[in-house]
Amino acid sequence: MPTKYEELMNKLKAQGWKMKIHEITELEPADRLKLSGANPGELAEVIRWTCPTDKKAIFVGRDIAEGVRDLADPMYIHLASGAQEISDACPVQIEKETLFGKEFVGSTHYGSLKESAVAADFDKIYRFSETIFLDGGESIVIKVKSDIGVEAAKTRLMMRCHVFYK
Amino acid sequence: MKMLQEGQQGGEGGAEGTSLLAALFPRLVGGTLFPRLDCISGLEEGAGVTQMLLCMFPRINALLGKQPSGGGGSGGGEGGEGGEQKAVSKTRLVRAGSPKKADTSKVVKVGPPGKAAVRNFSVKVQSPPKQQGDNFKETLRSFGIKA
Repeated sequence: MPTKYEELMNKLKAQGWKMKIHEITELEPADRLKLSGANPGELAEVIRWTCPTDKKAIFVGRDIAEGVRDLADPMYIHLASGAQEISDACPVQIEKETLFGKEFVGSTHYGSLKESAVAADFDKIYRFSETIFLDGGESIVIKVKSDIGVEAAKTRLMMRCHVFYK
Repeated sequence: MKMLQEGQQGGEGGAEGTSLLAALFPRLVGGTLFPRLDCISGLEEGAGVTQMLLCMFPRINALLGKQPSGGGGSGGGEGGEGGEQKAVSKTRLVRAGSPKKADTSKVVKVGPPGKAAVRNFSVKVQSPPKQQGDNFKETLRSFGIKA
């Protein structure tokens, strides 16, 4: 019995879409400069990834616990080292930038799953939660509160997305 | 007089050979022994000097008087007018037609076939990615993913 994740991937493949998993594991020097310049309490931009114009991308949000928040990792953005949630203040904010401007997607915590566990967890997806779709040319922007998670984000933030192309 | 009338009728026929004969042999063709006197006597009272001079030179008078009346020229003019009328009528046909028909005729006239093909091609190029994108988004939506 295929999972929801497998069903989705198979359906897109049947339509002729090829898929690559794209990961951002290191922050660019420019991002570090932005982080160091951010004021305490402000949201600092730590990741900006733009989908290539001839491709489409989804950041698959996972809900392996059917809505039980403690086990859910709604955004597939996490600290690769497996850090625990460090605050209830939702230090991570996700924005989407399109031709029409910025669009607030949601806020979340740092995840608690290790990178090695994430890939396997896709097989257990019951439903997609907080999945972000990017059309070609659109960007996803991850911001963290500079006084809470910046230092951790500098070294341990990782983002994975599924890039689709034909 | 009878001969004169016949000569005039022949002249009215417009034959160029007759006018030439009349110019060369005015007496024979005109049927008179005194063409100058007859011409002058035939002038009206208000006739001008030119008419008098023409009477003094009957050969030249015959040449001038029997020149073609210019019917060919006027005929050409009529032909030209006729051509214009046709052109106008064509324009009217285009204008009188429905707007769609007029647009179609404009496309055919203005653009060479190559340009029309390029336009069609550009439209075709734009449409497929949109359909692909829609399929992609529809698939995501069917899985409950906001797209």
